[in-house]
Amino acid sequence: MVGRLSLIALLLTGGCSSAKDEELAAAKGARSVLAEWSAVERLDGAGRLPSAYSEAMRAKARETLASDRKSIRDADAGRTVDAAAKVPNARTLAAAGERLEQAANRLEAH
Amino acid sequence: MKLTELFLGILTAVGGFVDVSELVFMSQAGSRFGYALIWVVVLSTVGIMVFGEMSGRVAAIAKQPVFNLMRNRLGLRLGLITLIASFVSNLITCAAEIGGVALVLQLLTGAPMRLMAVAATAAFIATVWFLPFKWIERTYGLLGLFMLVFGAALVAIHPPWGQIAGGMVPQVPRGLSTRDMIAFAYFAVALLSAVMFPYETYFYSSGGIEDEWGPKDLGINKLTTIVGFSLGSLLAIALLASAAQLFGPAGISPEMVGTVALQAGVPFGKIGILLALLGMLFAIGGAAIETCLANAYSLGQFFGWRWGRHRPPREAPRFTLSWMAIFVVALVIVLTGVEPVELAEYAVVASILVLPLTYLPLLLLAGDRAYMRVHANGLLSKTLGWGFYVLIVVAALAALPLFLLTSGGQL
Repeated sequence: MVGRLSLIALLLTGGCSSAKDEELAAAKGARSVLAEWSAVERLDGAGRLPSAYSEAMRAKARETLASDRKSIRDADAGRTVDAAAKVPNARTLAAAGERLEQAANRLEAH
Repeated sequence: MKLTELFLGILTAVGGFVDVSELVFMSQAGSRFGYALIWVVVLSTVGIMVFGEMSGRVAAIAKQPVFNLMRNRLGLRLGLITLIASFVSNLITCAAEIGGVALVLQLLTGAPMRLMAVAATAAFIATVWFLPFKWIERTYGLLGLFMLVFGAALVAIHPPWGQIAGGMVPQVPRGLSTRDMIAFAYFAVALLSAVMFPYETYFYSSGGIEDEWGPKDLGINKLTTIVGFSLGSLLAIALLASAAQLFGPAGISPEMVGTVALQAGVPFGKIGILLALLGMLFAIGGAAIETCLANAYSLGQFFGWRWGRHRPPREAPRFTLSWMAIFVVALVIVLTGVEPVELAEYAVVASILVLPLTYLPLLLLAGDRAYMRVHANGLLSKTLGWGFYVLIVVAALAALPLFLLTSGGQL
């Protein structure tokens, strides 16, 4: 019974997920990754993180950001992500995160 | 001796309460909705206490583990469907845990994640092969107590305790958009599922039989589930509250498992990060072993094989091969490159779908006086049990649509 209802729910809601939703999810994901990366750079700059941790987090952030970037078609949001990944310091990453949040809000409003 | 057993049992339950799904979902829920979902954690903890205590009591009195009951109570066909569904759900969970451990090892050592996944799986296989059951549980549960650094971190950042206490009152935040309302519902269901994972009762009740529980152990069972799970739940709430305080205002909704450790890194620096990573390593590692063994127990119990870690491997060959194969398949899933966070999201949805089928036979047997005699469910257990049963059925029906509508909580 539960399985059957779940299947119906899957069929009903499967059509609701669109490319727009995918882009919005990627933009929100990228916004968070930029903020996470910024926090790592800020704390690392203050000498408060073990080096293996900082390095691994940087690599993971870069990888996750690249993956989210593939689904972002909005030109402004895309440029923001690309620029931040090129100069990844705490301030630029945090600023890029805020710009991306505005872009995500725009996408959500449309 | 009894007191030592009880104390160790409680500490083990605390250290083993949190797994990779809880780490991710508590942090994301706190970051996104502040303290407003704490009541769901409290409610779910009462739920896992009720069903955990029931499964331990059934193991002690009727000497029946959960999957024996399923086959007897649901019949072969429905029992088999439940077995397959729970097997898949536990396998995804096990893969998520192995991936989580590999990520934590990468953060600790800087070594490649895939290599760490292979090393971790080899270490888990060696642990289960060499250590007696009780010591498997205790080693990971007790070392998982490094996670207490998250509790200390919460105290150190001086959170608004009044707001945290206010979060324990059932509520839906005002002024949410429709999209946010759906996301709130998704996180509520995900937290319920993450706290009430079905593998926990499979493992707990099978463990009771491994440890040869009898009526004399009912007191320990009750105290372990009530005190151990309550304290473990406080740890989960600390994760949520720290995220609300530190991550939400910074726009962080953790996409990477390692970010969770920053909660301890902010107040305590390097030592905080190291303690958090060690706690995560053992808590998630313990969950990897529990999910794997829970699956092997389920297979052994359903098909009537000789099972259990209390037997030497040659006396339970199919059970032994099963847990080894489950570890290897879970490792292969991780090696395909699926993100552990993504696996954790699938795991909570798959688990909530299985919960109603898991808990129904347990409720029926725990209330059956023919099996349980004077230890059958009383009025309180019966009321709470059926109340939570209705809740998990509703959550199970809502889980998949909510997952799809929110893209796994991302929208």
